[in-house]
Amino acid sequence: MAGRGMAGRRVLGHALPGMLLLLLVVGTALPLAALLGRAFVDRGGGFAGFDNFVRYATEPGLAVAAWNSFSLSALASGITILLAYPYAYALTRSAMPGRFAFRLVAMLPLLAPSLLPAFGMIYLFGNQGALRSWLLGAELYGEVGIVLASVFYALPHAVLLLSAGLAAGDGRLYEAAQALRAGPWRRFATVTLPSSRYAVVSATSVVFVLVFTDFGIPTVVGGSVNVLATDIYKLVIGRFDFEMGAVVGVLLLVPAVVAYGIDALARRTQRASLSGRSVPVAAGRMKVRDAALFVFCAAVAVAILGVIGMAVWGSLVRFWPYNLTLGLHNYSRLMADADEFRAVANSLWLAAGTAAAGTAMAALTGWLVARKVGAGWARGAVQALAMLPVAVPGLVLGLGYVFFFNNPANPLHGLQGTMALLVVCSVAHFYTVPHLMAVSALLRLDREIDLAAQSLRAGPVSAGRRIYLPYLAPVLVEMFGYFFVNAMTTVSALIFLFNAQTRTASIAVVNLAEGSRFGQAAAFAVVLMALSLVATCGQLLVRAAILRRQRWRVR
Amino acid sequence: MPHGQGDQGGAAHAPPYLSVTGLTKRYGTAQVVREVGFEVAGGEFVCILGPSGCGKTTLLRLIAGFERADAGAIRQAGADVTALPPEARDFGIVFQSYALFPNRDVAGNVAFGLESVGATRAERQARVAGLLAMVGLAEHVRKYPSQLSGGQQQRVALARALALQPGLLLLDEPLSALDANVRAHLRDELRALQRRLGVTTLMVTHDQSEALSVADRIIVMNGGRIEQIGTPAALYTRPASLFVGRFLGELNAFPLQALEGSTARIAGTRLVLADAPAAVSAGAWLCIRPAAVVVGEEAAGQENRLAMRVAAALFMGDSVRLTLEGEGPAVMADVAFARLGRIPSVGEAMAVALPASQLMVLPGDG
Repeated sequence: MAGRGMAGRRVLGHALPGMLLLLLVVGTALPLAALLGRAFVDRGGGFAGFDNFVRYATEPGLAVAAWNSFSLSALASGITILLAYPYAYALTRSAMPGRFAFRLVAMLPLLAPSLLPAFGMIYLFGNQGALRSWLLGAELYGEVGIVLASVFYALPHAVLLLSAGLAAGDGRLYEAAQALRAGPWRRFATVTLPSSRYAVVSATSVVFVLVFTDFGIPTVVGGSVNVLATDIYKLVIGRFDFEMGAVVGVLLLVPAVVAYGIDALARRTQRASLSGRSVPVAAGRMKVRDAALFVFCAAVAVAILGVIGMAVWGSLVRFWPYNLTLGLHNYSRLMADADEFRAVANSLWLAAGTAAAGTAMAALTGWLVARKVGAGWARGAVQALAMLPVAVPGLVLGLGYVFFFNNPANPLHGLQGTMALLVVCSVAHFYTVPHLMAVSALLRLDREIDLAAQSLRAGPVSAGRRIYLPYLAPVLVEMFGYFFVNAMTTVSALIFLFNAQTRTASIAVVNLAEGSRFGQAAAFAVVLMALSLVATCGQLLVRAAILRRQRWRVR
Repeated sequence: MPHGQGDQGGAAHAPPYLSVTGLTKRYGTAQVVREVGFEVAGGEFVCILGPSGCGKTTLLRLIAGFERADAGAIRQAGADVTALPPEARDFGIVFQSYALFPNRDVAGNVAFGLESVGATRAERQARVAGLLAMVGLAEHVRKYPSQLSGGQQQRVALARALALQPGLLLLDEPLSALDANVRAHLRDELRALQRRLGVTTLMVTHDQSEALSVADRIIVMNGGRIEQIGTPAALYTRPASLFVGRFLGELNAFPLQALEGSTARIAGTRLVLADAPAAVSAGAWLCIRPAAVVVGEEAAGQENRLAMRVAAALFMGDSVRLTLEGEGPAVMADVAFARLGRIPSVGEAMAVALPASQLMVLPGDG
């Protein structure tokens, strides 16, 4: 027994960290390095310094995209936070009725590709839109459309982050303020706002990056307004100007890295400000406030359901806006067309493959980091590389993959154009969150658990099977669901990598939208949303079943 | 090792079950364990006692194999185990946090080690039932750790550690997470159980009363080194240093100004000693336990008599702690309440005697 444990430990202590590190380096670091390198070489491959950046800044029409990206993302982030803060406040701090339902509605957009809100916008506010007059004569295609659809797309992320921040408040501060005769407004201004400011910073930076790097929305409703995310696509796919593409990649990457740095800093500061003795804030009942919040939340929820509803309606209409007879026409065309049908199958394969491979790997890296397996430097490197993808926009990662795997000198060149490479890219793209889920779950287990297992003659593999796997099971299901839904709806990471055989449904949505076949595009987006919904419900059911079986979790 | 090497009690006669020599552990430049050496006889209950950060837990982890020593050797049952990983050594361990497996019920926790070594189902069931009966948890077999009280969790951890019938039982502050009442009760049970099983036991603790009450011998550590090894009574009455003296209990300590034969001079007074101590280093202390100080009528006729006044009287239940002031340094005295019959009032005059046989000359810490 002891012999097997020792052999297991040697494998785990040296081979496993090395192997995981290698996978992470190939999946994230090397493609990024390839992209960064490309931005600083000329067409012939010689070192060009900042020449490419100078060319970008001086060539007419290019640099304006950078300004558009910045200003529109800032505007959309501001509006999103203004809407999300009261919404999250109502969910966490009020006694407003229907809080659970409002929470569910706010999460709905997470299940759809970012294009879905864009379609909803077109049906509502486009040139033939039902509520065209609401824009007061402004044109949807362009700034207005980008901002509106982005707000809708980013809202659930902001609500999630802000409600987590607001839920973590300290009830004792409110009691102290009340004892000092502070009225409700004063309590809000002196306790609630300051204690949630880090959550606001965090949510703002996350939303900014989401909007800044999103590809789907500006493609569909951007009109003639160029942003970095669409420019990078046009430069690489349309002009084969890889150097300019790499420059735009760097321009997308740097603000994203900075924003995530700010986010990480804000989170750390907020954690430090909460002591272990904090008392949860009890949601108080205040009739007027709760009524006002209810009206506000209802308005936001109606808008969300309206936009999604319009997209669903659009997918059911025969030929908008000329023939509004309802039917499954668009859906049956999807099923009839072999190419489109394959795209749905590809999406399922991609999602399942990404979820299976990603969950297994993230569980291992999470275990390595949380339980301190292997050499310290290897663990540190694994943690750093696992944290990297969250700051890397999908477009940048995807372009890095092109540069890295298309290189004939690369021994992994053969992966190019395969479904396997799409899976690898999706795993890398969405790696950080599931990795952190595994880390934080495993950190909650007492450090001495490992030692206890060792003293009872169980090697790492045996302890993993008998303790960590059962302990982690519900988290594994969550990680699987996260990878699955994200791989199902992602566009940006794959837009440079797919070919006719590996095209996924989310990319097909973009292609159809580019061809102005909005009905079919909307149908595709609805199918994707339905699949994501099924996957999410399945995840919740499996998780609940596991938790019910694991009686040891209940006190 | 400065002190206490000769005082190894009974361990010198039988071949030691566990012997540690020159054990050293560094973290970076910090030496956490410095050239530690001691022996433990089979069946002995030895406590490693010291303040937090003294290296006692690291020493236990080295003996368990959770840490690798930078120098030195550990021999257990005649074999060198220094290089062996934990799972190849023969010990059971109870942690301060108990580290029970949350996903396994009481029986599952106790059976864990038996499963590792491939015991049959019947063997496991019999052994688990026996162990749980032994620690008095037979009716809780199917409960999970989260459903148990602290004391019950501690018993499960103990049963789990004993399941493989280890030659050596390691206890890392096993009682410190418990309430005072439960702690005292479990301490006595632990001691009785250890006697009955005869398993060689090494317990780390920072609680001197716990060490004094359960250990056959105590190893006092400070700053990564062993300060002294000995039986509880020997350490209490004949500490080798001011550190050991203070760590094992309250102590009056007066800076020693001069030593002339068997007469010691401290600030303001001279005191007679029972015998002339060997040459003492500079910075030595003259010490006496507060309980050994004699007050009132009983002080009459004794040597080393001082006229003092009560500066403070603290009622502690069984005893009264008096702080007494006179010409020299203040003296602390613990006097049985039954003997005093009342709590002396502040300012009251009181005769005090420091019996020569109870005075100790101890080297300082520097």
